[in-house]
Amino acid sequence: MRETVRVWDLVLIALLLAACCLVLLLPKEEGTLAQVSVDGVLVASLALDTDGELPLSDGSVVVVRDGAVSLRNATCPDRLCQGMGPISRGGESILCLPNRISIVIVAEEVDGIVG
Amino acid sequence: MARMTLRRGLVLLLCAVLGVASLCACASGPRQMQVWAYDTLCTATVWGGGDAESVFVAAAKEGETLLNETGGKSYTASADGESISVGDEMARILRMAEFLHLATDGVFDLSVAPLSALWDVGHATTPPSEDAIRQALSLVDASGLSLKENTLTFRSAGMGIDVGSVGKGYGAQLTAEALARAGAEGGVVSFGGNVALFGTKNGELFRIGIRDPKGTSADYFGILTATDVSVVTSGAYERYFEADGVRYHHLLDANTGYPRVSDLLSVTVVCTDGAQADLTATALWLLGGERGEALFRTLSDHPLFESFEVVFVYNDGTVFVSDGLLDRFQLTGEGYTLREAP
Repeated sequence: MRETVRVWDLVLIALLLAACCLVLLLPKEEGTLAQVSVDGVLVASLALDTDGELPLSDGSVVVVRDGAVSLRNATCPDRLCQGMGPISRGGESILCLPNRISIVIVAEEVDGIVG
Repeated sequence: MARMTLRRGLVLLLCAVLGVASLCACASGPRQMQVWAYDTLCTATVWGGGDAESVFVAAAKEGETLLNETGGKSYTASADGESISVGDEMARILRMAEFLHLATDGVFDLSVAPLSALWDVGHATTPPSEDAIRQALSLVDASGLSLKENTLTFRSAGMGIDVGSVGKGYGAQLTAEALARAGAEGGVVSFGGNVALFGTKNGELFRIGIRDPKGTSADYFGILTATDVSVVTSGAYERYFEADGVRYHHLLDANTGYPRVSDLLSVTVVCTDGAQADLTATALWLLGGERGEALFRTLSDHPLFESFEVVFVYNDGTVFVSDGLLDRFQLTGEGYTLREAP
């Protein structure tokens, strides 16, 4: 009887530890965020694991699909920004200079990238 | 049985504490801020207290007045012999640039503005005509700039200087210093990829990736552990366009008027002076590997320049790291090899 209870105790401990580890790991798994800003003001932080669209004030649309983000319907003259996506990895960015739109994937392993 | 319940209770408590602690760890992370200046995205990641946000924006904007009070990043003389008044910092930059102009046999030239404007790499899709290049080149001549104390005189109309490139290294540094004064514990300031570091993050130094010239903006080939310095990288990969299968980049040779051919993929300069880091990274890249390494040693002992360290990446993937960085640099990229000391 006592032995059985001990086994179940161990199982319970293992399960709870696993749950703890999951909690510790969760921010990393969900952590891939695309920070969308217009004219230096953060307008949204989009999780890359959720498909969706975010229309911006100038008429362009931020699109999240299959874990990557891109900019569609650019309203700037050169539309260079449309060609920069889709991006998905920490440190990558889409910049629209004329309309001052930035989409930056938050980097994790290093505190910044020079160059 | 009561003991079992107690044990389970303890385990549950432990897990709850761990869970809450991990959530708190996420909530009290660094603050991210950004602003548009110097025609690019300027960001900062700041640890610790202080009114960082407003200090950051104010300092980033202040840096834009490097050339003159109106905040312009370039100036073109409209008459022969025209003079403008420049600040102490700009005067110092002009003196360093003059030295670099001589040391690179004119390949590096701060008066390259009319030529850069003609090429307009970043927006243009075709190279300019030979005639147009020859015409612009006639206005590029550092010896036509003369600096007397804080007065800069242009020999002829149409000559100009563009501090857009130097300004970012300077501005990032200025902003890092302002954030430190405002009481922040530490931070990473990046003005379009020109980085300035100050303080620490939770007592640790910062880890900065140096961009892989062959990869995307998220790839790096090595990690530098540092603080209280500026780190600036120059390379042809930064800005370019392709026309008829030819790649034209933004690092122009002021002697020929065309993008410079270099045996280097990138040059990174680590220095306490952000403006110097920016200037020298460009000049060393333009000069190329062998002569660049020689100039690096010359500049290290020159009174106009702060002592600094470098990372050179050659086209074949060989990486030269100066002695002062060897224990702070870690090679991480595939296809790159550290050159052994001779």
